[in-house]
Amino acid sequence: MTVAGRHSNGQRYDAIVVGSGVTGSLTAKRLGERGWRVLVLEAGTGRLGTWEGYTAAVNGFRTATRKGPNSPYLPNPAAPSPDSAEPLDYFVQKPGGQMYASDYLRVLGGTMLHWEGETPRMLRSDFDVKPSSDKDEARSWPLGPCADANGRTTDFLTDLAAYYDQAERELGVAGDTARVWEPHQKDSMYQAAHRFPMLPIPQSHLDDVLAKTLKDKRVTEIHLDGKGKVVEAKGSGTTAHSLALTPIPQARNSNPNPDYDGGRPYRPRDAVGLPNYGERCVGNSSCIPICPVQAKYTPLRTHREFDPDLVTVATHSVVTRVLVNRDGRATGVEYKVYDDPRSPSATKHRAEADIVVLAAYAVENAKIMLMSQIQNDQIGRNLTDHPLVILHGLAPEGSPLGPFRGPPLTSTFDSFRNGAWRGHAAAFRVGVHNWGWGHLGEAPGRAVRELVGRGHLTGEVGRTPPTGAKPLFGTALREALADHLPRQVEFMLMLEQTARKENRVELDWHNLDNLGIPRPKITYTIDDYVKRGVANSVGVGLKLFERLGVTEWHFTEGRDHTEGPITEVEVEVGNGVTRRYPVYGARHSGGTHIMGTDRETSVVDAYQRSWDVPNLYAVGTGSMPSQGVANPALTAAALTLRTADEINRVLLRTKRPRVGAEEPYDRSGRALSGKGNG
Amino acid sequence: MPNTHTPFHAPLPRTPDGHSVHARKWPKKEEPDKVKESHLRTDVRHFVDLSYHLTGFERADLFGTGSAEEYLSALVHRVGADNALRLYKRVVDPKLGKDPQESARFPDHEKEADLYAMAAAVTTMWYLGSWTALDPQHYALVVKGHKGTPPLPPNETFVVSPNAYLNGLVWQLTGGHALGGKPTGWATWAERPPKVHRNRAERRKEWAPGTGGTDGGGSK
Repeated sequence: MTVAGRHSNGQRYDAIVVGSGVTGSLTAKRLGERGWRVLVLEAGTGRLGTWEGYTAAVNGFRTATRKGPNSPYLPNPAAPSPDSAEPLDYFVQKPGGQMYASDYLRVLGGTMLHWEGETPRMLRSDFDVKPSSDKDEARSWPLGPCADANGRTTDFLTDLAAYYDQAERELGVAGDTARVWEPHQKDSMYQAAHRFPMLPIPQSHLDDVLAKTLKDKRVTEIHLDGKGKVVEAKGSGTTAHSLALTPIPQARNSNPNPDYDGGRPYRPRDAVGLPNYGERCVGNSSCIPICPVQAKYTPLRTHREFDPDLVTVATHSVVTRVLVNRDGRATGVEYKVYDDPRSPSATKHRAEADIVVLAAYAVENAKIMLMSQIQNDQIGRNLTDHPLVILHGLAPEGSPLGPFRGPPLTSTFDSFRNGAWRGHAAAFRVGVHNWGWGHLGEAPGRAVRELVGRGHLTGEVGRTPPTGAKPLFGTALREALADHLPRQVEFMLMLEQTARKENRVELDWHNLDNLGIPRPKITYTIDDYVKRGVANSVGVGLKLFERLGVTEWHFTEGRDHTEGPITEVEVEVGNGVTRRYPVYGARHSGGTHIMGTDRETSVVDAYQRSWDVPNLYAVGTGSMPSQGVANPALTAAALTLRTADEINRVLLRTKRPRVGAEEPYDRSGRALSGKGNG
Repeated sequence: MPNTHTPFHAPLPRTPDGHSVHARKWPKKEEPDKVKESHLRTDVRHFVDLSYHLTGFERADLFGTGSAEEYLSALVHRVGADNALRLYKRVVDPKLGKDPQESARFPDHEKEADLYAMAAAVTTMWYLGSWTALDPQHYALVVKGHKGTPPLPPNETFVVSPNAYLNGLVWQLTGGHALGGKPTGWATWAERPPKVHRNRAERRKEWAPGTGGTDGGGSK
């Protein structure tokens, strides 16, 4: 049930959840299933929850001149969202320096409206975080035995593996167990008996061509030395990395897996507001920023599964602080409700609850905790992301690769996620994009404008553009484009980033948004560990290009670097030649309220419960001390479901849920309600 | 009377004998040297003739985008009918003969800068579905060339419509489709991409194999 937030003024709930994105939605859904009354407060508007509103956003994307991740969604001055292309729009950052350029989306359904839909699990080694230099403190996950509210002790990773299974069901993941397990084996969080809810999304023709070319040339592996640099041949201290192209698990609809869950196949979820639509991916290739058919998971699907009697969703409700009483317990939240997003007028309200869950994504969670004046120096610190480097290449003539089709990414070279060199340089993944040079935003547009504007394309490494070329029209233009576009290859190099306490979110009370709420002030740099990883991953990417006969195209030559939002890293690409590679953000914000074993080094415990306010939980990627190189949504979802079950146990100690609530079951069919677990 | 009821659209307006009111019979197309502003404005075929040369695509493919009318109105709105007519006369010039060197039709980017800028804008519009702001110097020349009323709107970039973006000609040259629409369907991305037609000759072979094809009756 979606209502205006004013109706909740003064009401009491079992739990208040701040944020309607993936973590907030899964928390609310599960608590509702257990019979608890839940209020979900969403700062953004709710228009996407209807088919008409959603379609308007799709058309907003189609008519956007700059097709960035937030382009389909209407700007909302009352609850502003950062924009990756304009990192100074909402964030307060020092201009000119390195900047945090990852965005998120404050709207019903949250940032996962524009996520890419990739759901790999983290590796076991990803949880064992090493400090990147002696100066940094260790940020470790609370691994090992962990006691829940009932005193039952479980091993953290064993428990998490089970919740990964549940998260894959909630999100609807398609994948190929054998092939995702293969590159990592004992380091993998999958077990041999694991089954995905849906059968794999087919790898693209481009993936097949690359795999076949490597196979034909008998290139099956690549060797990295002790520092992670590419070396020509095997030697002492080198590590061999397989060049198998691993199909990536994805939360988008394919065909149900007949072997799933003991022969009870998953039913793909249809589009919100248009039944029996979007039940299989059709390859719109625009997961970022919006799936036109809703074949990709969005939290809007989870909203539909809320118990309508127990879960209330209030949009236009911006939480300003958690209310904490003299005993140090949270009593509820204070929030502002606006009507017109453009108007600065808003009314202030309070709602009460036994439990408060912050699920507003890393930066906003930190903001709310800071505004609530919770005294813990770690709040806001350890901000991380996945730094992202893009390589552009052009395949040899006469090899149509079939880009601009299918999901943006169907395969990655997965073996660089761990290695002996990892203490020295960041781990990485090499992804093969299916959307041509789509990361540039408007890949074909660039080529058309260049040819019509000056008659030749720029960017090919090692070739100076011809002088005196005439602008192209007609058949000459058409042929030039037809010869170029089907050969575009793009590699995505996603890098691990370790937490550093200097990278942090603070409140800037001098820069307020329209509702008078301080904007987040961000301090962020990438350290040498990441920079070495950038150099290593570019080395691997270029070696792959060389093996595949692909020529590199590079677009930063001659650009003015003294200003601008994009951090660049200088990489030596051989023979003393250096090139600057921009480092983008992957909008995988994490680490602003990391979990740990004590309140000196962390903000929340293994169940994402605040060390300082015992009935306050902060869930999501912000709790993750490290992300490895796994896209974090699935891990955040798994951690959140685990927390929701813990909240249920905590609530059961003092009260009883509403009778008549649906009896929930776990995967083995065992009842999970009060009788079984309380 | 055909059944026009669908859940999503109101029935299209129909003539008493059941034809769509949009399916009117075209009058005879004006000869290029006799085309006036009013012809250019009201009969989209003249604009498509111009675009045929600029884009290198068949007339049927241009009509097939569904965007010819909105592109024409964007052009007239942005540069004025008088400038648009100058561009038409320059490109579809009968004096160039029946089959001149293709490049002879295209305005020189230095000597005929304003005509070139408009030609580039029209071509880019067909390929991408968006009108691109002109170079400020070119825009000044276009403003100078516009004698009529109303005055020209500001020089800005915009996407003509969602449909125009999805049907940009450039996507036909990728082997794929516009990102965010006209998807190729489940698992098609695992197959070889369809053949990209580099030019009109290759395109025609597909329409009528073995015969050399036809572009639908338009004049050259």
